Amino acid sequence: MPHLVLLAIAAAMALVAGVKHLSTEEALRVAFDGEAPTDDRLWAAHVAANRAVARDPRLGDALVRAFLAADDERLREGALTIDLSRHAIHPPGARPDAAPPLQSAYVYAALEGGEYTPHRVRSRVLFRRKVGGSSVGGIRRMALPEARWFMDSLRGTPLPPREEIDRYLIERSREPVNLRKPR
Amino acid sequence: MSTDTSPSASAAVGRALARAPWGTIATIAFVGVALRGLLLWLVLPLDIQSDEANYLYLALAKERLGIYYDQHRYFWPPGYPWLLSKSIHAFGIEGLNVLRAFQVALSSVIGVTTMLFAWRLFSRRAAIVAGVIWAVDLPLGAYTHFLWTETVFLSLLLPALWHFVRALDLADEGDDLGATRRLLLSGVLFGVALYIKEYVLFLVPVFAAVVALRSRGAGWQEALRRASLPVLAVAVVTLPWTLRNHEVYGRTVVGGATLGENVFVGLNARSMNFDVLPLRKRRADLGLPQIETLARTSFTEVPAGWVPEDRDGNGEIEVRDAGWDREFDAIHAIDRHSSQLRAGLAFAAEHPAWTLRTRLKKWSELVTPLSFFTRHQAMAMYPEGGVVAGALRGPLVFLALAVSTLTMLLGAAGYFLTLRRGPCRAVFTVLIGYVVLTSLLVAMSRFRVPLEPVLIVMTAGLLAHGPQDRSRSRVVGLAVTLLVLTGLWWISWPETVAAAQMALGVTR
Repeated sequence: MPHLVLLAIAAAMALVAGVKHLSTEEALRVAFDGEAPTDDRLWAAHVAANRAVARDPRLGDALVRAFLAADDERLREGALTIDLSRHAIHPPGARPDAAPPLQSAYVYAALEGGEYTPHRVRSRVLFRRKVGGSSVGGIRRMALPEARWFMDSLRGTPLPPREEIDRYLIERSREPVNLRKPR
Repeated sequence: MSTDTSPSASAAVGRALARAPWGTIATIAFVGVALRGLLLWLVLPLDIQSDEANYLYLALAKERLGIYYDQHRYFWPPGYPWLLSKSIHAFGIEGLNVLRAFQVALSSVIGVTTMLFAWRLFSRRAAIVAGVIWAVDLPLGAYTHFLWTETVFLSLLLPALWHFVRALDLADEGDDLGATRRLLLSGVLFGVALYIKEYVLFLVPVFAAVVALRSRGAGWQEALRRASLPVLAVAVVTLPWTLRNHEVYGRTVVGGATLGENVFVGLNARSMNFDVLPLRKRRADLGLPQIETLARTSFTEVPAGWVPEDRDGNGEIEVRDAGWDREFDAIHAIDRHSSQLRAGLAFAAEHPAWTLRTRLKKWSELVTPLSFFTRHQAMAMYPEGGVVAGALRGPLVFLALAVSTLTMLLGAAGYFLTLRRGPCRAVFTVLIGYVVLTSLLVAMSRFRVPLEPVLIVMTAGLLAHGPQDRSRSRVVGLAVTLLVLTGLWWISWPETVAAAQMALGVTR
């Protein structure tokens, strides 16, 4: 009897998953749809980027540009995550795990107004501290101050002055290369 | 003392379970939790380190974007980042400490289950001894203030094992309904544990085989019915995540996907000891030679005749230049497994002598008396000026080293000389074998954690009752085990001493 109940539960879950299934074509359409809700676009991009088994310029270039040009900060931050970064189109001769150029240009662009906005802080953290290392953005892991700034930025708590953030980021980036953990 | 040998004995255990010394167990569990709570209070504020940062990154991304991302080189199960995201959502960055406090409270489950195992196998006295050892087990207790999965995982794994053993007991008693319920519960707990760590993915089928073998007297159809129950329960509990993965990736991924990266790390030219690797920066700051230069090279050097290439393109040939590189064409971690597994196995087959000596090194790293507590001390992660990094540093590090060493030694003796035959011994043996075999790829003290409660139980049995069976086979088994253990300690002795000195702060 328990076997039958378990199998029935499994069948029900599979049925629900089948009904909610999003085709890859539909995912791509939603991801590019400027009128679609942000959550739907982020999820669609997630699905499309992970189903693609090879680098896809539609995702690594066109969709990244679309997200980075969006008004919604969440969409812009969504362009900086692993999903789209690993579809980046690199210039000839670059290592396949080099930092994605579009996202790098966005994250390291000059600060508007001379201060880090909450979005700029989140962008730095999301892009530079990706889990897993250098291939998709940053080689060093996140430390507590960045996590604190990230959460402060979401909760509306004032961020430290630019000098403090810059000093911290520069110090971290200057950690000697030969002391890194082996790749 | 229960003998744990026959169905009638199992029945006696079942009847006696109602008389478990719950008052004593609860009291000791409370003391153990209080000690862990005190330790947490003493070590705050605590920065994040290594994989803790990766878990937190995933939680932050989930909090902001609502999506669980993979880790590029790994694909971890979502449970722990989910817990973190819930905690930081509710409490901001203080949520990290709230989760640590939650882990302190949750560790009571580990303590209680450890004592229950000792009580079921041996006696009330053994349960008390096990509880006391658990309470002061610093290597285990320290995980309550780390943002690693170990505490949450063990809090699910141990009850799963407990109910599994009880199911075997009840089946022996002829209580089919009771056994079915326990198997179901055990499977559900294993399934939930898979959301935290995919470690048990291949353990459950092995346990199912144990059920089938022990139930063969009831006929193979009944044996199959019983054996399939925990597997089916695990499949159903993990199905939402599996279906989600199928939706996202278009491929089936059960639990997580870490094999490819572990093969890259473990079956590759360079030697990576994760109990000492993070100490590199600290040693450079202190002007000390790097620990890998102290290692016994017979067990770490690259294969004879193998010519390293400058794979990272930094202009230098270093040990960190791998024997083979990651699969760059496959952009997703889940797709790198097969090719990396092939590359790793080919590399191992090409260099059999290297494979053998480096596997001994892996096992040596599994049984090192070091722990992540001593690693944190060695890295100077605990607050400077605080009591844990200050006045109590030496005693605590000695305690951590002593607990690890003694539970391995006495636990081995307890396993051979005190633990009787029966379902619990079979389950413990399978678990020990599983941990030992999975450590052939990558090993460190953290991978010993699933065994630590088992070692505590067996140590407690020995201390409470002494040797009960001195038959020749058991004595020889113990002698061989101790010989192997000593040899494995010898292999990594230079790194162990260097790391322990750093933990003690005697290198300054």
